Amino acid sequence: MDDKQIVDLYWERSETAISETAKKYGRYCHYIAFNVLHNDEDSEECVNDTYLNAWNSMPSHRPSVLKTFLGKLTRNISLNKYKQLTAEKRGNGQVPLIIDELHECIPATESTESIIDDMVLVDVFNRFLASLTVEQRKIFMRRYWYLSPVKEIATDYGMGESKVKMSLLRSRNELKHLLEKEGVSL
Amino acid sequence: MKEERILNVLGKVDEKYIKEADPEAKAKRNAPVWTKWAAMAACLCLVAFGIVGVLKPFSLDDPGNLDGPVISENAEPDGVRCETKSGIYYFSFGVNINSKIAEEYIKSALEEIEANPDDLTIHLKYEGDEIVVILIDNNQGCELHRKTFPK
Repeated sequence: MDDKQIVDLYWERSETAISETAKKYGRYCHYIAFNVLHNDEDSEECVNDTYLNAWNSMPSHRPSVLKTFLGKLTRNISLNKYKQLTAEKRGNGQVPLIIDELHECIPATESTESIIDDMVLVDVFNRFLASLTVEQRKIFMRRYWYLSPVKEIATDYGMGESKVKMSLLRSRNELKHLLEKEGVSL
Repeated sequence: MKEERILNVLGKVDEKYIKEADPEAKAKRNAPVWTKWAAMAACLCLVAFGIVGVLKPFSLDDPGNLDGPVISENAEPDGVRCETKSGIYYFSFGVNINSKIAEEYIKSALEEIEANPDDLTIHLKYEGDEIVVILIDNNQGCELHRKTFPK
C-alpha cells in the first residue's frame, strides 16, 4: 500500500491504518527507538506510542513524507522515554556516547546574548547540513539523528570506523565554528 | 543541558536530510569481493618486487622535550600498540596511559592519518599533567582538533 493510501486510512479513521503502518514502517521505527533505548520491550512501547500519536494527529495533519514523519515521532517519544529511564537509572543505548560527542559542538565563548529560539537554531542546523558534503552529511545524520552506532554506519557505507569517526569530528568542529561565528548561545 | 538541546533541535531539521540518510536506503555498498582479492594480489606483487618502502604515516611534534612521547617499532612496556598497514608501532609516553579513551583516540587518529598521509598530522606533547593530542589539517594549515588526557 502506498503512503497516500495509508494516510487516507487515518483520515477515514480506519483502524487498518495502524496495521498498515506497522507492516510498512514498524521496523524503521523500531530501529530508531532501539538505538535510543537499547531495549526491545521499551522500544516496542515507543513504536506503539508512535502509532497512537500518528492516529491523534491525522487528521488534521497530512504529512508530506509519512516515513520521516513517523521517524520524527519515534525519535521524540524515545528520547523522552530515555529521559524517564535515566531518571530511574535504567538508561542505556547510544545516547550517553552521543551526548558526550555533542559536548564538542558547544561554542567555547559564552556571550551575553539571550538564548536563541529553537526555530532559529533549526535554521542554523539546516544551513550547517547544507554546507556539508553528501557523505559527511549522511554520516552526521546517521549518528545524531538516527543515533546509529559508529560501527554500523561504517559497515553500511563501506568504510572504516576511523573514517566515520574522523568525518564526525570534522563535522562537529564545523558546527562549533558556525555556532561561534553566528554568536549562538545554547 | 546544552548537548540534549542540540540533540532535540536536530530532530527538527529539514526532512530531506532525514530521508537522505535513511538507514534502509544504504547508498554505498561494500566493495565487491573481487576487489579485495585484486588488492591482495597487488600487494603481493609489490612485495615480490621489493619496492615496499617503510612508511611513516605520521609525524611527531616533540619540541625538545626529552620526556615526550616516542614512536618506535619495538614494544615498550608502557607503549600503546598501534597496528597499521605499514607495520606495528608503539607509542611510549614514558608513563602508563591510564585513559583507555586516549589510546582509542590516538589509534583511530593514526588509522585515519595513514589513509590520508598528506592531509593530516598528529602532534603529541605534554602540558603539565596532561597528554595533549593535536590533529593538524595540512591542507588548511590549521589545528583541526585538540584533545587532552590525564597522564
